[in-house]
Amino acid sequence: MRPFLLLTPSLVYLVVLCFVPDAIMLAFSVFEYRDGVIYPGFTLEHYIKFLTDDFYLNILLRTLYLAVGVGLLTVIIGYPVAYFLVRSRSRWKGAVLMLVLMPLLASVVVRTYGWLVLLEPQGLVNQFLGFFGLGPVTLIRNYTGVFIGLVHVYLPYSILSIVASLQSVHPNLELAAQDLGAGRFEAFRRVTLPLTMPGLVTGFALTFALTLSAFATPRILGGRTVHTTATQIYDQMLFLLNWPLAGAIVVIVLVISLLVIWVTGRASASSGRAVVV
Amino acid sequence: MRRRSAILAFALIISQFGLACGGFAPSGQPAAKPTLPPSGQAEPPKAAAPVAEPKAAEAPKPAAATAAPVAKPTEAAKPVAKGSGEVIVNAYSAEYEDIFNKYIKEPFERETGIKIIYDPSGSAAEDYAKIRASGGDPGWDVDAVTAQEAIQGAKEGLLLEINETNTPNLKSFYPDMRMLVGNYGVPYEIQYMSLMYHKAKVDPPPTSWEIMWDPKLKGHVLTFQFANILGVYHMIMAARLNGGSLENVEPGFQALDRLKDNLLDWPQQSTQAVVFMERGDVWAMPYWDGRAHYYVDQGLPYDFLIPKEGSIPLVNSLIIPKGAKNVENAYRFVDFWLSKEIQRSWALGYTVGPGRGDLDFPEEFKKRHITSEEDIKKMGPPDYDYIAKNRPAWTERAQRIMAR
Repeated sequence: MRPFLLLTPSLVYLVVLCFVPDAIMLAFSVFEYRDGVIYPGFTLEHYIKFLTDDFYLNILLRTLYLAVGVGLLTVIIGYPVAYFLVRSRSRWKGAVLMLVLMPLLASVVVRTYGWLVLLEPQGLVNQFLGFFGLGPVTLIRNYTGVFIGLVHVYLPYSILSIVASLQSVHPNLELAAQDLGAGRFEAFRRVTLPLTMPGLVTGFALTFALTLSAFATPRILGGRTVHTTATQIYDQMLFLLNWPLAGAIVVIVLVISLLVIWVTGRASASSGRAVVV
Repeated sequence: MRRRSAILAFALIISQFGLACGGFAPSGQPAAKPTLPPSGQAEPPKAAAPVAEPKAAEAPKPAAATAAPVAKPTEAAKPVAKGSGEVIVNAYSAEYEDIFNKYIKEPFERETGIKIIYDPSGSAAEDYAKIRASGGDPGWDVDAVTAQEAIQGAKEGLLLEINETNTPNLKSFYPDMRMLVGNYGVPYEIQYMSLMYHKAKVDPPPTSWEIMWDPKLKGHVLTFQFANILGVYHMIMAARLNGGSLENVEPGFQALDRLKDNLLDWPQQSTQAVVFMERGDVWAMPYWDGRAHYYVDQGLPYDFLIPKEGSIPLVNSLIIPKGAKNVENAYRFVDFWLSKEIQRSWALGYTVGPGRGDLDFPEEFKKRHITSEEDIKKMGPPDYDYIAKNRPAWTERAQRIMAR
């Protein structure tokens, strides 16, 4: 009884601010839409349109590639940083932790505009490349720019979730493996890595879901010609006034996110068990 | 395992937040019944402080010609009643706000005692999305938008009717324009799509819209997204250039596809073009005559003109959302903006055409802006209702063409 009471405030908050809007979008997704006006009714045409029309299907697929790519890269480059943060006794540890957390202190919009300045055709990156006689490379208003920006924005989430799982792996386990004849790399590969797999998977799932719904970074770095599911929902809501199609996209994205979370949750659970057994 | 799923679920919920906000809209209903405001200006004031304002200028004009004979000519000469409270007005940002404060807000507050709260957020299309999302109660009383939103709002029953009874000054407005916009918006200013060009880079001045497709201008041409009606107009003009029309826009989209090679950018808001003008990067683009004139006056090396193929007039409208809190003040504010004196000072201040044809302007001004019914007829106003109906599909088509 009492634990349930403790949950009540946050549950009310979540139900009101998350499930209600989602339910509204779900309702809209089956309404009819003709000549800019919405009519109540029941139709699946918006789902069919989104999943069969090349233009929209492409947006979905590219957003998924983007989400998988960002998820994998943040985990891959985040792992060494997390490892350093947990295992190192360096006096720079605090500074590195600050560096990792710092991006979270500034708004996504501010950080993304920073990237815009760096990646512009006359930006710092291209000036640097020009110094070596290379470039200029187009790094904004395409998926490359969006990818770079998103990896930066979501890297802390990956690092923190890997840190959490690394902390639960006692260093003595690695030492024991080395005692039993494993090299340092072997010990890492066969003991630490499998034990931290749940953290890796969580980090991936987290950045995947965040990327799938990212709006500011794709809009700012991708401009108006790069579309992701989130920017498409925005455009449909505000400019095409096609709320039913927007609703259908919301539902599809939500289902994909839930599926990925479910699958990765199962995967990390079974990988965790395998190690324990 | 549990805890991890909880964290994940939380992250997911947070990530879905931005996607899922919105509200119920009373969609698809027939237009709402006209709600008449509690008598505002139309009624003779009881305890009026006699302020001698040029409202009297309207007195000699007979109100016979058009319909509703509700507002008697004599009433126009009445002294102005002091009001109270506030009216929340949503319009545009940047230079528009400064000009609004000077030519509308300041005289209105002085004359009526009603306070204006100005909200510059959102483009016309974004404002409309908010009106729809809130079921006609977006938190403001009057909104400056284009004719398209006024027509769309009437269709979805989200606006209050604005007619000669509740807004007497409307009777002097261009009847054709009023017909085009309908009874749920007033055409408070009329602009047109001009061709703006860089004086040094495009010399001699262009004579045709075709200049934008000239390979010599590669990378120095702008057009706008269809979220901005300017982009839609430009496509319609491109259709006309290539043997199409409003009803046959296929050639327009093909031309838009060809224009891609020349494009410097594809911005949404017209203010986003300013930075390209300041850098001298844009050499030719469609631009509203009001803003074009403003930036020419600011000393930028640009000028604007109507090419030989003509242009398309833009009717900007004031609308009152159905859920407006200060209805009486809203009607009063709209009527104030439509008065002869304010129409003229706004036209000169923002360098745009007024919504009525009975005003005197300097010759130089008349040459550059729409100041008479003949000007409008010459340009040929498009079927705004048809555009409103097709705009969503056109916007989608344009997205496809421009997508990478």
